Amino acid sequence: MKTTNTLRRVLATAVAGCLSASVIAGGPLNTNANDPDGVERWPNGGTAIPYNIDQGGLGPLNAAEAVALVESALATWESIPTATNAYVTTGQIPFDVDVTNFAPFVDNLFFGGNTADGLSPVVFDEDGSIFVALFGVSGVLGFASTDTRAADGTPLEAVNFLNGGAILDGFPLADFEGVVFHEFGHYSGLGHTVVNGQNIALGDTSGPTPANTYGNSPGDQTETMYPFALQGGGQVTPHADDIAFMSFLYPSDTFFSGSGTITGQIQTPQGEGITGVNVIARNVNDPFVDAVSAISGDRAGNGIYTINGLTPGEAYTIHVDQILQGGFSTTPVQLPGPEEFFNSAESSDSTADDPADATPVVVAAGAPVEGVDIIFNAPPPGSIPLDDDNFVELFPSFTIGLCGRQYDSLFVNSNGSISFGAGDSAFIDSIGGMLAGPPRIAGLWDDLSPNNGGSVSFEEKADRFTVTFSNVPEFPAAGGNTFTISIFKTRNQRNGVDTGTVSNPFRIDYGTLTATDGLAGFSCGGLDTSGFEEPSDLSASRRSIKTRGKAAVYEQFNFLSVNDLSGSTLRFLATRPFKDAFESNDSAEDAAKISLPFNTIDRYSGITAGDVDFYKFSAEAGSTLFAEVISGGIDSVMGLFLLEDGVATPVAFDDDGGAGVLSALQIPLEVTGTYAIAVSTFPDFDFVGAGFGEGRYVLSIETVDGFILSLGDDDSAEVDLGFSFPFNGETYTSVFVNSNGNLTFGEGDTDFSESTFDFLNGPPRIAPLFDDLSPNAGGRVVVDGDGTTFTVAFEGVPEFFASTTNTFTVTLSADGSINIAYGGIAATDGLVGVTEGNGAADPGSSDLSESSGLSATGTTYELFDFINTNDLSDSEIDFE
Amino acid sequence: MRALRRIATVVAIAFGAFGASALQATTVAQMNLEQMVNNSDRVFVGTVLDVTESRKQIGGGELPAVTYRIKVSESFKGDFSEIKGEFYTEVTTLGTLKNIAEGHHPITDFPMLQVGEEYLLMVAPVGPIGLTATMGLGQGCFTITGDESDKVALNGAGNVGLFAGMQVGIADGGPISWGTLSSMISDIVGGAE
Repeated sequence: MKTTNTLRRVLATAVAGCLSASVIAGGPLNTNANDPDGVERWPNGGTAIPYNIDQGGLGPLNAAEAVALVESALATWESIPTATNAYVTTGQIPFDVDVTNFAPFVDNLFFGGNTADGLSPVVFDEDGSIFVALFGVSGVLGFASTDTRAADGTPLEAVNFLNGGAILDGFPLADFEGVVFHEFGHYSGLGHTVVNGQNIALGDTSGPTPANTYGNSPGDQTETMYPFALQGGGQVTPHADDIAFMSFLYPSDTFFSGSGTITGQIQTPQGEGITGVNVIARNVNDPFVDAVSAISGDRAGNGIYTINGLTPGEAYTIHVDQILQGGFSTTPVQLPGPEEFFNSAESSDSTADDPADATPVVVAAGAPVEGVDIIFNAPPPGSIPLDDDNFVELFPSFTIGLCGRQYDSLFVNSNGSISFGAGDSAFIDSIGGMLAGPPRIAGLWDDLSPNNGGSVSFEEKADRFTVTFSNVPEFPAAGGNTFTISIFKTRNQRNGVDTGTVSNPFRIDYGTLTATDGLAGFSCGGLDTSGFEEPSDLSASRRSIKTRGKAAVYEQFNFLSVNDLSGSTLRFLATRPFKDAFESNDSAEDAAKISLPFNTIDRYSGITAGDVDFYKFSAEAGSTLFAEVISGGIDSVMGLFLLEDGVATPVAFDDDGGAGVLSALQIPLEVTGTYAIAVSTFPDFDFVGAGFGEGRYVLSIETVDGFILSLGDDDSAEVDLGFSFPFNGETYTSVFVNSNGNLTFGEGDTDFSESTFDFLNGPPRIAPLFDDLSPNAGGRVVVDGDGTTFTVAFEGVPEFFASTTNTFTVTLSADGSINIAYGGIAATDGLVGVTEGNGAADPGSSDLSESSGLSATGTTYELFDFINTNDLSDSEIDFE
Repeated sequence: MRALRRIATVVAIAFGAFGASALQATTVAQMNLEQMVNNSDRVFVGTVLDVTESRKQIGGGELPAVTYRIKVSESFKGDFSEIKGEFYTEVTTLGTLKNIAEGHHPITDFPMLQVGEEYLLMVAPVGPIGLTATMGLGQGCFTITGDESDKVALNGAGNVGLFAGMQVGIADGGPISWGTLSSMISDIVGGAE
């Protein structure tokens, strides 16, 4: 079982990116809020599920053989006596679908459309060319889905693409028949299930682990809708589990009256319903053949499960089972307690409720057995069994309020923190993770290994809930670290009075810490932080740490600033809910009036359910507007409106133009007037508060005079100066602005490797910071002129693949003088100066920061490197 | 032990399921490590630097695509662009930035890489319009986690079937030591040359 346990642990942590998670509940394949059971199913009892077969063959099969393959699969599904599903063709697709004409059939799927075309194509990709075009040669065999729905959400049309090229490439035809059968299960509305497959394929127990109550399943009793096809698994024949669910979707007149049903709720130790738990009913006399499953919450949410299709008069054990692998319509969760049977002593008390003790439930025809609730056992106070990079969910007896949000549980993370709403297995402490991750109280977020020493325990007292890390080493087994995080009950909670929303103070008491690094403090998490919260010196806080209006108070330690918290106590006052500083601003009419430049780094701006935010300001024609949601956990959309005579006229819109799915607009303004920026969440394109998701965001709005150059990496653009500029004996009316921080005359230069040789032998050049800069990766380059001066501003431009930025401005005047004004310069290297180029003599590097009266004629420069590091931040240089 | 022994022989195909409107149930051939490496165009470890979205013209219409720009830190197979002394590659797949942000792809089990994360990727030969995918979708995409001395790799299928049919004496399923896996990949690539 080591493999299973390890897999269980790893799957509980995020497999970032390699797994495509299901995020919308629906144990059946899809949900439909208008359906009485909340499931998507074909109308009219599924008696006329449409399909249109492609012309042509499928791999080695000719057209007739391919049609026969499909019809055989459909006939098997139709043969279930307790279900009414039937498949009806309205004729062949009127053309042979191939790589030149297939796209309209997948438009709805990839663009979220709902356009009916009168066809439900079963596409035979005869030679696999469609699949190669879509996926390369990656082994995708087929895909199927409903793709068009009526206004009430019932399916109208579907698609099913089958890859004949895979058979030609050697995929066994017999196995391909299983693929077709399984896919038409999905096509009909069935999602994935687990009954016996996990026992057969992964060696999971047949009862609640570690109890292998019924031994092992026969290999041919795999449910068709198990996420994996098992050779010899019997999946070409529907299992009782498949029959039960198809019959639930499309019941015959006798299905419910002639079969048994068990329903109940899966509950956390606190009695809250929990969705995403697999529940298996096994007939005690025939545990593998007569077994049916459901995932809690798959139909109605809130942890409710319903298992249909059971044999009247038979007794079934019911147990909760951890799903180990595969994609499911209802996202499986890590169980908040050990797997267990339903029994008559059901409770969260592990001393009274033995997980291996089962109370079988006898079912009768047409008489559902209700209230078969399973309550997960709470871990007993004391030691928490934490592995390396692991977390465990605990359930205090009282609600915990943090940053205005309420939690009935907390997660104890191996790496020295507790978090709320989600666990965190990250072993690298990071400010980004602290601010953007789940709400957290970090005693010592570091790579701790409680599995290699020390202990982690919890206790609830009359006035507090505590989690103690005692002598826990850093990975792999270095030293020992001791601290206790205490969350205090409010006075009302101590007196047993429920006052609704609560805010709890908390404290961290440190014993000995051997770690010199790590991160400590608290964060309200990504829903409420701006992402710009700065660290502070926690040990300097002699009194209670104030939290009002603060989304995070923390300190990160490293070899320069070693951890100094040993023996100290950090007391945090109760956090408070955040108030949006700009509400109510839910329409252009009620827009919050602001002045530019503007940002909400220090003032809370957020989107709540049904919310949209408007900000209005004045701006002048000829300027360029920059508006960007620069941080936030939302999928933002942004609009710019011109406000005139009480009318808001749309000017521009953006969805994902900023970082990730954040929004950004860069618009030259043609009209002087009052404008409004609207911020909402996808897909609220009309800005009426109809978006999804909520959370804090940081909005930045400003205008700049001038023109934005669109420069790529190692790029160059020629720009008119607007006057004649004398430089080294020549007169120029244009200049080349080069990405790598310099201006040249006569020709551009994309050289990214600054050197004295290139500087002297290249074109005439003015180099504010000749370095490998990447304006395409961040910041901007703005040019502006007034007929006598010309300014180029590099604002916040990083070096190639660097996250830090550089800001400087170079101004050329008609009298030939040059001014360079530096803001913050992160680059430590680079070359700064002026030269006539074209083989100029080398006067040697000068110390520009110590020079004055520099000449704009000839060559003057300073070369910065790892010894002579750039020291020009916030200084000015004049060449005259 | 009975069950673990059977794993190596029974897993044949991975089906993908889905849970929201307009999402597709996908079926992917199960491939073991040897098959994935041999059939891949590129096999490498890299960190995703950025991702951009575009449209591809195909089949009488257009489809959304995302391109991952990846800095390659270790290459086993394939050609990679050298830029300023570092090696880079791009992987373009079906999908949108929104799919990535929401962690939800229309094709189930389709890997959606995260900027800043390090992966071992086994990338299929690119199709005619530049689209590709990792071999067997999630199977050819591995996250690498742990300290330098204790790195493990796990693919999107939980490593189930990774060694099916291979005589390597390693049980299927669960994380595998990075040192072991990288050595096996090198051996397979070397053996193919």
